[in-house]
Amino acid sequence: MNRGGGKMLRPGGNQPFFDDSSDDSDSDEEEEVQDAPPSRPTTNLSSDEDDDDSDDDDDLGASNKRSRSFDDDRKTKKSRPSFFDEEAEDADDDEDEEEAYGTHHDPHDRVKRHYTEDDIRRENMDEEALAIINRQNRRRNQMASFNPDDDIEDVARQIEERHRLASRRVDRTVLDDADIANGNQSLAAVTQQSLLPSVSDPNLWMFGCANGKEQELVYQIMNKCIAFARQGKPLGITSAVAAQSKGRIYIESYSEPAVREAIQGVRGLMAYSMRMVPLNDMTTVMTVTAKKKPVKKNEWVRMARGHYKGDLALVRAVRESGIKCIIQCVPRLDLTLSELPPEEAKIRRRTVKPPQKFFNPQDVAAMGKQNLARQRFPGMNDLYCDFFEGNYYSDGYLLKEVTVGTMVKPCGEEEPPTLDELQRFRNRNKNEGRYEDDEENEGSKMAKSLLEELSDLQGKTSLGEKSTNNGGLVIGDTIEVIEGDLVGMRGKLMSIDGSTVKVKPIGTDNLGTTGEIEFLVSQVRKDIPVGAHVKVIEGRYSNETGVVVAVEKLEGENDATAVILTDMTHKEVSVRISQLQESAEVASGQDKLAGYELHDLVVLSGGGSANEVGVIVRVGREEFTVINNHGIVREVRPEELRGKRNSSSGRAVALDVQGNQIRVGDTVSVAEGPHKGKSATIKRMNRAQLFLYSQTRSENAGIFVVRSRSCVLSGSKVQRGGSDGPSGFSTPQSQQRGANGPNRGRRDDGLIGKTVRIQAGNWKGYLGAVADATPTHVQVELHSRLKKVMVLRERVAVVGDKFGATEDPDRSNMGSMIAPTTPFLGGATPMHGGATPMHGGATPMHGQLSGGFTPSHSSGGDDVWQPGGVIDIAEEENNNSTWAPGTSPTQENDFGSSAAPESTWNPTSSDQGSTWTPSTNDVVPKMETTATSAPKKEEPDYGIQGATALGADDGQQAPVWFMERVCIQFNGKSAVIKDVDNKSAVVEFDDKTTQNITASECTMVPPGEHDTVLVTGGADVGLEGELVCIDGTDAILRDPNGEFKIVDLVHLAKIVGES
Amino acid sequence: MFYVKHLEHEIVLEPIHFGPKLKSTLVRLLKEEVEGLALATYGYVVQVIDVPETDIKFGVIEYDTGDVVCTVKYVALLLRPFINEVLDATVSQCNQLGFFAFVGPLRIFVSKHSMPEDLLNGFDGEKDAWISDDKEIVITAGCGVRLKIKGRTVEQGNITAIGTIKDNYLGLIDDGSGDVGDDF
Repeated sequence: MNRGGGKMLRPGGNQPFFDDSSDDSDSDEEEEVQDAPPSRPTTNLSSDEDDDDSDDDDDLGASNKRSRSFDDDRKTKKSRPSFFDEEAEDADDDEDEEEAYGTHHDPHDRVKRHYTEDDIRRENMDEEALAIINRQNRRRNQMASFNPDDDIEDVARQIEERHRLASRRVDRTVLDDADIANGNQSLAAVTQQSLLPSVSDPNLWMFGCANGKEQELVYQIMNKCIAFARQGKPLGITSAVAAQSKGRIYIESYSEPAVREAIQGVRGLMAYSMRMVPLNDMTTVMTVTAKKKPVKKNEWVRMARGHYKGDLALVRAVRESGIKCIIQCVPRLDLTLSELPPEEAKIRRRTVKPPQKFFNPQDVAAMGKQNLARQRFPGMNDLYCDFFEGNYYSDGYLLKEVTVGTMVKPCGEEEPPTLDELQRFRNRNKNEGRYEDDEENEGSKMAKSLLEELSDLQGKTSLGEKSTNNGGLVIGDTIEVIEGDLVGMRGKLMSIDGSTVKVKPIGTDNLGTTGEIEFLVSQVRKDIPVGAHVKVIEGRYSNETGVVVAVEKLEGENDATAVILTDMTHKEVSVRISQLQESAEVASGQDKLAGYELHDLVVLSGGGSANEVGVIVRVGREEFTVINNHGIVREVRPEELRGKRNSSSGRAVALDVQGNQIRVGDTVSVAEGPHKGKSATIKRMNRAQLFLYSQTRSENAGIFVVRSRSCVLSGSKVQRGGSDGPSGFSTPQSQQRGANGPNRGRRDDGLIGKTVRIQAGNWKGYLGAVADATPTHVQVELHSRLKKVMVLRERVAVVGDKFGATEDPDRSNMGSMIAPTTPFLGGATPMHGGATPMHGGATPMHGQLSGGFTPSHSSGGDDVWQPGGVIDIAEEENNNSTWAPGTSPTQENDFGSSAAPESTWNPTSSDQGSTWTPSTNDVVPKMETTATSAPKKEEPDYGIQGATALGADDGQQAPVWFMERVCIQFNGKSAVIKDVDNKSAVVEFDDKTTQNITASECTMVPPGEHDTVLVTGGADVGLEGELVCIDGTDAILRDPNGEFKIVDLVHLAKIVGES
Repeated sequence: MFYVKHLEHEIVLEPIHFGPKLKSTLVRLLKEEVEGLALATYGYVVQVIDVPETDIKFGVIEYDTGDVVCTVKYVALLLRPFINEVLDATVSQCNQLGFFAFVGPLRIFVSKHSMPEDLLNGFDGEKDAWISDDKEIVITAGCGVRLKIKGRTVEQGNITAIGTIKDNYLGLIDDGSGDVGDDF
């Protein structure tokens, strides 16, 4: 029979049958049918029956369109058995199920002469058309012979019988085709070849149309064809076909104008899309795709939808000739759903996939569910089931009637049931004894059949021992004797010789000398104890390694199954012992695909965000499972990956919650979030996202994603960041926050996020939040302006946390807040010389702040400032004898938040004439108590630099530009600073007179274009150059090397060129 | 099993350490290097108990680095898991495959297959606990369990073991609440 696909109408009577070209294994029958001469309509009719079921449905569908009314036709429709209705529906939603609409009235096909349009017209004369109609009519009459009450099988049998009859007749009438019917294959191939379309055959034109309208349009064309033929002006087309392709119909004709004529007035057909199908492609149009494999009873299927997607199920019965089937699977019931509020339940139902668990009526009853009942499963009379919430449960399994194709798919070769799944499926039966139901027989029967299935399947799939005739024995293996006199004896395999092995017994020392004993291979079995480290040498999990956590022996099985916890993915897999080998090797199983490996940091494409990255947590055969930077796991194909970022991850540095630097390989513990409390190693990192790896986690190969700021660096590394000095000197983290020694290149972020007040410079007095910090500078995001400015670190005073300033307004102007600095003491390149002392000078400031303000904090500290980390650091400073544990929480707060009137610092700082050292000593107890002590190491600095710095009026700070060679204005006169002595300087006026002035008395001359300028701030601090031009707030200057730099104008000071 | 053993260790001393406190430096370095380490044949070095000063012999100067290689004999407390040994361990983490328990530095994994039948399907993902069918036994992080070592894996500097609680007298002995359990 011809399943050439789609509907095929042949309005003309005598044309060559195009569809013959579709080579089909069944085409022999087709040949017979077509070869039946037209003079024997009965043959035609009977031979058509094969196709009748779908033909007639199509007739039914189209009959609305048909204006011609045939009484018989109506009758037939009325008495049509319901079976066909369903067939029709099925045919409608499933295009590839459709069968060719061969009306098969063409009598003889083998004549391959060129047909002219005249021929066609002649052939389409009225009487021909009428004959067709009559024939169709008659065929429908015969339809009535179907008894609607008949079983489907009966109908099928009838059809078969008739068909056999037809074949015989055809055999007699057609000689050459009889060979095909007889199965003469070589001849059949040749005949098939000759049926391919050639240039002398009509051409095929393709039209686009709306999806689903294909059949309808073909009917329309057919009707038009018949109508025109009746009017005496037949259309010049030979056929119209709706093949399998959706949204396409094909019209066959010798001439293009005829096609155009035929489609004229047919609505829904896109005439502009007309295209001729090349000769070579014509067969493709009619090629049939393989029919869906039907499911059979007791076959394994996989669920295709919903929570059950991917689950294994067993077909218990097939219904409605294969459209539906009753499957048995392990239920995924969520009993908690009904207790939740409806909205929550709705979300949960959608998102949470309940675990597989056998249905236990006792459990359900215990939960107080009322709607539990015992019912017969509809259609399976002998089967009593638990009926609960619309579903039937038998023996704990879910029984359900589902549609084949949409709800379940047969377990193909690609995805055979795994041993795991089968055992999970079977487990219930093992425990059958616990449920004293009247179904014990049924259960054990099922178990038996399942077991058979199991062994059967294991033979079929690679799980079985198909390639090993010796049970995977290797010399050196430990074996156990399983047959013969010495059952249970264990020994070491010494040699293998064909089907015999020599074994040296183990643990027989007290039995005297025992040599090697010979056994048949079948008498021994490899013995792998629990806890052994093994490698899978073949099968589905080939090359995985892991530790045996359990060995199970199924009854009726020779070979035991080991449950292995894999090293790499932390999964449990079941493998037969014969496929295992004890090995110390640690492999990751399949870990490479398309150049990517497990745990690679990869860039993902698509999915909205541009820079989505992820870490590969599983490498499949064709795809990866990736956990992305948001912690979402998904599967991607290798093509979707845009390269690795392992090396950039290896270089990356992030900061933990305490500001410690963390890198790949560090161990951190998670301080907050869903993974709180877990400790893991950083495997990869991307920006602030850490991909942590924990050996003890099984999901996602142990990888999970945490923000770096949610982690705390653990272990001894915590301290190392800041102190590069000699061992024994460890800088408390808190100390670094404010007073960042110049000798430390380390980036310190203690200030980031804090509210600071800028103490000097253009932005003096402004409040802002620190956006970024370097050892020398901080970037302050001003509260009042939409601007970020770079300020020298010591020019800011911390006044609050990230939520705003907490300083006391009265205190904020206290001059003593500002560290006395000796910025510009000497030095030919003032900025460079100045920078170092400035830092040295800064340290006292912090000491002062922290020392002085402790009382206010102990009374009213704010919690934001109390991360636990610094406490840890302080604890490691335990050699500090005066350290009082009680004060530890306040340490953090000491940094410069609010000022308190009561300040121990004041007396010492006002002690201006003295050097710093004694005053430091005064402060020492206090400082140490608060564990923010200025390290002793720096004290010498104070002695030298701090002391001189303090000599001047520390209420004022010289502006940053206050240094030598800078042009200033003083009382309206311009001058150049000659010699700076802290806050005061000797200036030289234009008339060469000199005067000693203080910084506050003069103003800087704003630099203009072509002036020589000095950069006093920003990234290029210290640079001298010529100001080329000014562009808004930016200035472009050329440095002595001739390179151009863009600098903030505010950072520039006009200087006189070096003479 | 914990036991005490005399062991030897080679220490490479940098010239910076040559000085008056040489011996105490040696002891410090020894402890830093070996404590917490798993020696393949002896197990974890839990603590260096004693380093007899008399056993610290002169070292040999390495020709090309100037470092001194000293062999130090010491007495260490070791922890070595033996197959079929029964240990009391603290559960540290549960997952759907079983739970991890620690005996000092030794990590032991107990698979669900190595649990009694009534615990086999008792993993509760919400509580991160293994709960028996009758809800009597709850194994969760912090609990004490008595387990039997079934296998061990020695890696570089690390030993892990596989355990079972599927046997007589094995299983939960302390529910982690601090109360003394009445199981025994």
